[in-house]
Formats: sequence, structure tokens, C-alpha cells
Amino acid sequence: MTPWTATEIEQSLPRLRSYARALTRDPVAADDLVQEALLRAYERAATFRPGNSLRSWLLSIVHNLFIDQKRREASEQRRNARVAALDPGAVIQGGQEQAVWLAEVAARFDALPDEQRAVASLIIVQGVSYQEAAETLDVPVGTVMSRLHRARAALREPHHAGNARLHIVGGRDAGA
Amino acid sequence: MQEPEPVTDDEIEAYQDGELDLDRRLAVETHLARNAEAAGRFFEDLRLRSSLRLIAAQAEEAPPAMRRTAALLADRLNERPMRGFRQWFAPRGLSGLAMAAALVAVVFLPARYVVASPPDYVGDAVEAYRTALLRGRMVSQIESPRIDIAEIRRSTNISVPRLPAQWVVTDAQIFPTQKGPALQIMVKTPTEGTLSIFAVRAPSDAPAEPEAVRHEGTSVAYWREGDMSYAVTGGEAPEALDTIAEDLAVENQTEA
Repeated sequence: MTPWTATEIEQSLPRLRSYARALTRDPVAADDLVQEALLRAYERAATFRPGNSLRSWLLSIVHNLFIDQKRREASEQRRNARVAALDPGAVIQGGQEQAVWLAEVAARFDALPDEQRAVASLIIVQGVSYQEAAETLDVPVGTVMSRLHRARAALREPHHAGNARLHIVGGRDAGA
Repeated sequence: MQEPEPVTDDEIEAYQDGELDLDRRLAVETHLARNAEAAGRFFEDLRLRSSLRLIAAQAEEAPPAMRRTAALLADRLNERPMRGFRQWFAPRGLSGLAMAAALVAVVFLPARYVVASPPDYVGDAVEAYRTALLRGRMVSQIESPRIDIAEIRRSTNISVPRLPAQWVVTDAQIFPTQKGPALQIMVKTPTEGTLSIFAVRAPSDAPAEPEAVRHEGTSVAYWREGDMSYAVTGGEAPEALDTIAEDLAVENQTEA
């Protein structure tokens, strides 16, 4: 037997970590989550059917573990408090304007509801198919699409979302 | 020529996500080329996508512990084609010992890493224990307190561990697992209360010396003898179960 899974799992790590980060919004918690998911996958190796996507299987283990943890944890608010804390490493490269923009996008992404953040991470960031995202999250494809649609609307710059904010600001200016 | 169907927002998003066939891609592109507002929003979405990918790409290399676990998992998944291997042997035609020897030669010879987490049948053992507890509480479910070791051996080829005389069997059931039928016995002991003994004829990574872990709220001690894999499950602390398992394992060896 050729050890095809060795490289496949190795290659899945960035994806799993990225997804875990999107879910936990905390790099340390994310790596703990992935580590635990790998152990869980090890224990449940028998439930993996070779014909299926290894990547989806691993992603769904990460996802389910996160859901389990969330049920137990009450630390959600603590995390929300540091929602926009972006690693300054990547920010410096692109100059000040890009840094501000990226911090803003990161904050919007982190502020999405869990379900939308999960879908956005899988599809927008990682580029998995709707079908695979649906399998990972164990929901119908239609649900994936509507969550994605709402996530995109929330991520867009406020004046592009066509909401009432611009209108109010304009009204004030006119009155001043 | 038929007028193409109007393009929806969902379709523009699906275009971006690579979910459209060529025909609809053209329809979306035509729509975007003619509609400045839709095109603006489309590029805004692309800009968001690049930004999010840039943010996500910051992660440094995976920590060594994670990579080691990943390698273990890869090994484990590669092992799986071994399943079904046993069908090449005629279990009834071989004595337990000869069969164990054959399996040891073929399956266990390649040097094995030391396993850090319990073999997967331990999950089945916990499941069986929980099911038995449930059965014990339900009036409509009948427990089988009688156990015919010879019959079990005949029909499942499972070797039943010899139990201490003061233990009372309250239930014995055959439990289906991925690896074939497993035997699960519920016992009442004078000191440790209710325990479950789980036995499956399947090679596993379980050690010959029992090892005890806490698994999903219960304690499990597991070990292997040849191609029999065993687990003792209960609500006790893992150390208590470890001792019990050791006694059972030793008892069994002297019997064989």
C-alpha cells in the first residue's frame, strides 16, 4: 500500500488550521482544536471510508469538536472582546492603508455569526465546493448558499450593502 | 434564439465560487459587463476574498506535535486495507493459537509505533457499556443473565475471559462492531459495582499489558491477547479498572 494519506493529511493541515482559526478566532485555541481533531480522527479511523474525501472528513471532525467545545464553554464573550486583534506581521508589508483595510476586514469576519463564519471560511477563504461545505457542516447545499450570501452582505463595505447608514449620515450633514 | 434567463445575485456569487457551468458563466459575464453596479459589487467581493485569504495565510508552519499526530493518523488510515484480511483464513479450521500465530506473523511483524491513544474498538466497548446500562433500566428490554461460553465460542470464535467466582453476570449480549461480532458481558462485582467486559476477535494496537484511560466519561482498560482484543469498562477510576483488567488478563493466560 502506498502511504497516500501521509502527504494528503500533511497538505490538509494549513486548511484545518485556517478553518479552526475562523471558528475559534484564536490561534492557540485553533491549534489545540486541530490537534484534538487529529487524535479523534485517529480513534475513529474505522469510520473513514477510503472512497470519500479525507479533507471533508477531517474538516467535519474539526467542526463537530468545535461545536462540542462551544456547548461546554462560556468563554465566548472573552473572545469577542479581542475580536479585531490582528497579527501585525502581515499588516506592515502592505503599507498603512492596506493595514487598516485588512484589520477592518478581519474585524468584520470575526464579527460574523458562527454559522456564517464557518461557511465563509470554507468557501471564500479555502475555496471548497458548495457540496463539500454542505457535507462538512451536515446541512443542505441551499443552506450553505444562503449563509454564504448573508456572510458576503455583512462583509461588504457598509455603503455597498445599501443599508440606511449612509442615508442617516447624509441627512445630518444636510441639516447642519 | 431563446432569451437567456436573468442573472441573480446568487448566481454571481456562484460564478465567483466556481460553481457555474460554462453556459451560465457567459450569462453572468454578460450581465456584469453591462451592469456597472453589479460589477462594482462583484469586484468588492473579489477584494474581500483576497483580503481574507491574505489574513488567513499568515499562519506559520504547523507545530511539531501536530505534525507527529498527523503522521500517526496517516499510518492508521494506511493500515486499514488490512481489514478483511482475516477472511483469507478459515477461522473455524484453525485453532485459536495457530490463528493468533498467523496473525502475529503477518499483521504485527512490521515494527509498530507506540500508540498514544486507545484503539478504535475501545469506542465500541464504551458504546456497548452504555447500551447495556440503558437496557438494564428498561423494562421492555430483557437482559440475558445466562452465559454459555461454549456456545459463544462456537458461533463467534470469541474467547471469554474467566471471571472471578464472586462476580455475577447480569447480562450478556453479542454486539455488532466494524470488526465483527463482539461479546459484551455485564457483571456485578462485590467491590467495584457494575462493570462491562467487552471481547472482540480482531487484531488491534492494544498492548498486552492492560492500559487504562478515561474515555468520554467512563473508564476503560484495554488489552490484547493474540488476535483477541478486550476492554473492561465502568464508572470507576481508571486505576481501579487497570487492576481488574490485569487480573483478568493474567487469569486468561494461565487458562490458555
